[in-house]
Amino acid sequence: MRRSRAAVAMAGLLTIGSVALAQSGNVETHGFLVTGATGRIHDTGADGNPQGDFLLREDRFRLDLEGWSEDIDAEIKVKAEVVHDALAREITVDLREGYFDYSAGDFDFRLGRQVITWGVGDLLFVSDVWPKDWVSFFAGRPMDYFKVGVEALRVRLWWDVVNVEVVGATPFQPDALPDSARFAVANPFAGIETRMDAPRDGYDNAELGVKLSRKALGVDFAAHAYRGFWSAPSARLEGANPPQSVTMFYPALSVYTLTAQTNAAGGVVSAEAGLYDSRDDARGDDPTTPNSQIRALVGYERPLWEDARAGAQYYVEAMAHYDAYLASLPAESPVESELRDLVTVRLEQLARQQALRLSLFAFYSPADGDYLVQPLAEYKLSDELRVSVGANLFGGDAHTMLGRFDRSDNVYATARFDF
Amino acid sequence: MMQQLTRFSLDRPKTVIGLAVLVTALFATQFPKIKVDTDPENMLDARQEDRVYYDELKEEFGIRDMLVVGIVDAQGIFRLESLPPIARAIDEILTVEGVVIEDVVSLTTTNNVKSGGGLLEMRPALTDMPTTDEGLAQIREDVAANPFLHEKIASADGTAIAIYVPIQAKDMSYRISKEIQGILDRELLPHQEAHLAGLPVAENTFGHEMFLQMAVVAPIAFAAVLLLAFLLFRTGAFLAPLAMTAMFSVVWTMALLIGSGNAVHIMSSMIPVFLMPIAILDAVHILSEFFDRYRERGEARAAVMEAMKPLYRPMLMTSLTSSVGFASLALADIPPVRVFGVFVAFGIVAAWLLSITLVPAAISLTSEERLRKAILAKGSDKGSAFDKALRPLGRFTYARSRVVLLLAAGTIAFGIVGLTRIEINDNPVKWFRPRHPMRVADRVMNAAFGGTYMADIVLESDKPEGMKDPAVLAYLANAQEHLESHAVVGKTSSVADIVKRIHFVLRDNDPAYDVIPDTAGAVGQFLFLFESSGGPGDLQKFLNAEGDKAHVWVQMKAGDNSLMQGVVKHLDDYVAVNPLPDGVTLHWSGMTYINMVWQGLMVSGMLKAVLGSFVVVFALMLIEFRSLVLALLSMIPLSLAILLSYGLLGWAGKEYDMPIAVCSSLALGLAVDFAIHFLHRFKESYAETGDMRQTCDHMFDEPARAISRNAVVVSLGFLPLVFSTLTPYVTVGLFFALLMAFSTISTLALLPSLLKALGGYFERRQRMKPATTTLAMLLLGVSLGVATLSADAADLTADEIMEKSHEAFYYAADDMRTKVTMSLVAESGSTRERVLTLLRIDDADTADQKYFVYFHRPGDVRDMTFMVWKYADAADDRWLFIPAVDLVRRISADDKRSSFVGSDFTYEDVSGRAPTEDTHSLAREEALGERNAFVIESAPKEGTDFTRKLSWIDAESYLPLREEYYDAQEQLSRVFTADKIEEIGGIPTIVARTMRNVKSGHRTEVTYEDMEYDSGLKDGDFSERNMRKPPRRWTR
Repeated sequence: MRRSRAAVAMAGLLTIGSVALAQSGNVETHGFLVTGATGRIHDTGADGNPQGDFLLREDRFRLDLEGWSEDIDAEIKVKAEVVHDALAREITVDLREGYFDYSAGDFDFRLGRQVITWGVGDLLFVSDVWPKDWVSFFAGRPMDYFKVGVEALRVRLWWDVVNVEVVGATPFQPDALPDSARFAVANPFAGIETRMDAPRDGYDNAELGVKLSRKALGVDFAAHAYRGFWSAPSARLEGANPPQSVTMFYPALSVYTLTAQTNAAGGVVSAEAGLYDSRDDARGDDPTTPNSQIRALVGYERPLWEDARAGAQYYVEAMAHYDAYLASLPAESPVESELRDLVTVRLEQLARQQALRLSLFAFYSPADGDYLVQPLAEYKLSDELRVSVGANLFGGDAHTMLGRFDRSDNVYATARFDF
Repeated sequence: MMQQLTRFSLDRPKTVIGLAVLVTALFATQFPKIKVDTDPENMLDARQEDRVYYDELKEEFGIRDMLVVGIVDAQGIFRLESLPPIARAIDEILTVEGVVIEDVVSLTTTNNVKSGGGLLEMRPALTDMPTTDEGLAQIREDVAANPFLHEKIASADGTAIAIYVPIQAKDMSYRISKEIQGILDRELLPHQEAHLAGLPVAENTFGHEMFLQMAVVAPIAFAAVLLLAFLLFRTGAFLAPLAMTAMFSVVWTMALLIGSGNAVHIMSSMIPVFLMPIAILDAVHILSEFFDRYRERGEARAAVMEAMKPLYRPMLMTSLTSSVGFASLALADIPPVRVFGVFVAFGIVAAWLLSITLVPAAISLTSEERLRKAILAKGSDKGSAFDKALRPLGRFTYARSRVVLLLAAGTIAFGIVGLTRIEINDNPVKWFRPRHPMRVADRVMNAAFGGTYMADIVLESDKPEGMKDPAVLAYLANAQEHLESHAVVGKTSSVADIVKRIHFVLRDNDPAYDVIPDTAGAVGQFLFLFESSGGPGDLQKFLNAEGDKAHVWVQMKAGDNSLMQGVVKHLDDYVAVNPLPDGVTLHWSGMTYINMVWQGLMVSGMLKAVLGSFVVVFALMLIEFRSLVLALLSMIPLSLAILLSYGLLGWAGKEYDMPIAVCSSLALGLAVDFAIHFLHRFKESYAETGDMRQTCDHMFDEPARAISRNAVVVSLGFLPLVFSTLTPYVTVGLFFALLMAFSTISTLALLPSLLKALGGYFERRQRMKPATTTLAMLLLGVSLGVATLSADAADLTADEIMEKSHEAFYYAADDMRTKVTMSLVAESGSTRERVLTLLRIDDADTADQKYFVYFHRPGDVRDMTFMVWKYADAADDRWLFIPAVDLVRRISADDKRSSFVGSDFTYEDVSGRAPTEDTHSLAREEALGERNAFVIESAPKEGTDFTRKLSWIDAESYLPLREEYYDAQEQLSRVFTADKIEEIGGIPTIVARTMRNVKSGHRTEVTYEDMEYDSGLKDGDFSERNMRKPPRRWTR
């Protein structure tokens, strides 16, 4: 309860502060309240244990605060939330973003906690190495919560010849992955002592990213380079049968990608291709570390008729050293396929003056045979109030990326009030 | 007729293309009959007197065309280890098929006349391989001592020897030279270098490389032209007709040439290279025009018909003129030039036919979708580099016509002075680039020996045995001495040398006797002695059996025709001072001499031919324009281009050779094309507008663009020829570029200036037009003037009104910024509100616009931005920035009729629907409230969500006051009303408007606040940077 009290105190301060600042004219505040519940469809998890009926049940009070200077091109932006997790019975404060912006000439600087997204895929990522919250994505939180802020300094040079973006980020922020606490997935290390070995904060472990982009011949081109870590941890077991402990760590990764997006065939065509260089496993023979990969995607999206659009994408990732991977694999371990591909389909229809949005997004992997279907209906009752209901329906083999959430199918409802 | 042809091509594209392919295939069946002729001698008619004489000479004296093999051994030839491989090589060379064994001149085969104890000893300098240094020294001394052999078979410094290899026929020389090369590579010591020289090798090798170049360089040039065309049009679909036109016409022409039994000669081998640029001219004109029309019409068939219409006549004219121009080369005395002219003429007509059929057919086969993407997506040409350059040029030439004319006069003077500096010269060896082995051999061997270029002199006496007269021989010896004093002449050999040598040898090598004996008896005796101890063939090469003809073998160190001319003159000078003995005549002949002769013919012949075609073209122009002045004008770019190109040649010191001569005919074909197009279009435009200035402005639009496109494609496209190993190709490539550049410049810069200077003339012509036309023109002018003055557009057509309305509504000022509030009101009264900042900027030159939208409200879209780059004739580029995920992404734009942010306005309502998308008619004029309005009825050309629209256009401001949209059931579906019009910055602006959906009862009310025009926005403001972080001044 101490945490809750502190959070409430902070939220109070934030509110009072922003209201006070708003008097000066150089500050604006906005915000919303979103409340939602995600309920399970299956009453028991994969291990047969009851998980409780709710996956999520929370209220989020968002306050956006922005202040700027009249003299120089500088501003500050804070997006903070007070989160009430009804299941955990606690109130916390979440700083979604909080950064300082400064512009001079062709340069833009942004320092602080910020969301960065790269690439042109629609919910598929080749170039986007920046952290994501898969719990939100799989549990039906609004799309705004999919991306997680990183602590970074971002410099952008808006040069005519090419736009340059340089990102230096530390400490390392991994993806938020679905865990067995909320999702009905088996924890393979249940009962074993689990240690976390995240990259130590510091200069050495800073993530570095460079993006070059420009429009040419009607095409938006970009090239990206990244040096950092895999966003999902790998596990190293200590002690032989049965293992005594397990260490989770984030192997080193470099990524080089190219993207292009253009109008074509009455719609938008997107393409990404890249190399994921697993630096800690250069030869691909370390079973505890991911193999290097080639990833690529192509996508096409176009309007169907008034207020309706459809899109399709094909994504593929291929292991670079599959033979080495196979050779190094301990006996009886599950074998990943060399090639994993995904097809996505998006259908969207707006209606009633675009107040009603019906959308369907589906992933299906031809290689693994698993899938995720995300239907969503959203209605704006007024400019301030909107409600939505949706579902996340998983399927496939228990060893597959999406199939292991088979028992975590859920439906959700949220309401959001903007002010 | 031609229009029907176009229509047919559009209707039955597959038939047309299939037919063209079939005909081409039929033509192609002739290719296996190909006969190749690489002999420059054939530049002369087989009956031409110099050729006939040379043939007789060859027959009589057994003269053969010769290869010269040089072996260089820097350490010295006369060494024990050096000689054996050389001797072996010579032996092997004798076995090569086609080598005339008995006439090979070398260390081991040619008799050396020596005295051996008072007796005449005749045997080759090297018979038995010496084993001692003394033996070697003896051989060297023998060679050096015999003026007949000295510097002929061995160099003076003893580091090189030469082998003269006569061959049975000139066309064997390439093969034989390759075999000899093989032998030498095998036998010689590593440090011994071998060289092969001689005109026959050069010419034959050239012939072989020529066909290689034809197969390599011509396609590269072709590919380059296509690539350039692609860069200009950015449309792959357009390459096919271009490629087909060029390729098919070349195939037709070459097949006809081969099929008609003509050999492919050096000149005709250049037909493909010459024909391609001319062949694509028409196609580029059509495509260029189509490109622009398609933008306006958006419908391929109509665009083709419309594009072709103003082009039929100029295209036919240009093709005819170029064709006739080339055909008139048939008047030349040079058979290959005749062939060249006639077949290029055919090719041009073929290309014309192919252009006007294949191009429409290909367009027709391209799906409308693809065309739209290709043409419309590219955006307008009007902002292109072309226009950036052309428009100012147009303005400049018009405004400063005197400056231009002065410049032109200066250029002409420059050209004329250059022309006088031109040196006429050619040398087939120089057709190779300086580093070619042929050129290297030429340099090395002519430095070491008497020369590899052969010429012949024949002295003929009218008396039998006349040449054995000591006086004549003495004259000959002296004449030879004089001849050898010329720097180029290395060595001469004749019967006089033989007589002298025997005299000398028989007198025990007493230098006093190295002269012609005094008596005819002695001469006869010596010659008999020579004949009986050596081979009779040796003498026969220099003196015929009757003894009335003597042959002098002249070896020269260079084969340039100008030098040959100098040598001829050198001897003429001698003969002028020292008259020939009685009854003796002198003739020149030989390969180098023959080259000189045909080149002389070539220069004068080409000049005559080009002048002839010039006259013919002029006559055609007179017929075409029915005006002496215009006809003269049309000849100016052509004349200037030729003058300037050749003048530059003179200044640059480049010699006028065969390829350059041929190029002059090309100038005719290309330059006249531009002038005709320009003048023809000018004439039409002037007839239409009657205003010189307007006409000039118009000319620098599409017509100038087409001309520049052609110029760029052809001139740059043929630059790859510069990388050829053969200089004629290099020359042609460079010359193309020069000619095109000059013709373009003189057409685009000089013609308008001249036309302006001649403005009075045109006005007079105009006045002479039938009175009715003038009256009509006058009336139109007056009404236009009244219309613009009073803004009372009584005579404005519905199209014009809608155009003006579109301008006023969507294009007011150059940029605009406003804060927009949209209220979406449902029938029930429930209201939702969108607040956004809207910015707009217009492109300075085109109808393109950029829009930027920043959303203030509602909260869930706050900070979102939306940017549109709108193209007048292509799909928009649209991007949306979603702040929550920090992502700018493209969104598709093919939904102009979709609702804009949920309102009753469509995207098209916000940014404008092009008036050309509908047909308009003026229904009536009526008062709407306090305002007078035109009521225009519009029907979409292509199906959309409305079938009819009525617009009330304010007669004063041209803003739409009310619009009614009717659906397919003829029911009113939507109504637009301008609720409030205010003047913002002096511009009437609708600041409040409503769109009402009659069926649902839903309506959207829009108000513009804080509106500002010309607020100083820049094109660069509409950027991703500002999407991600809009400037505060925009968002408050």
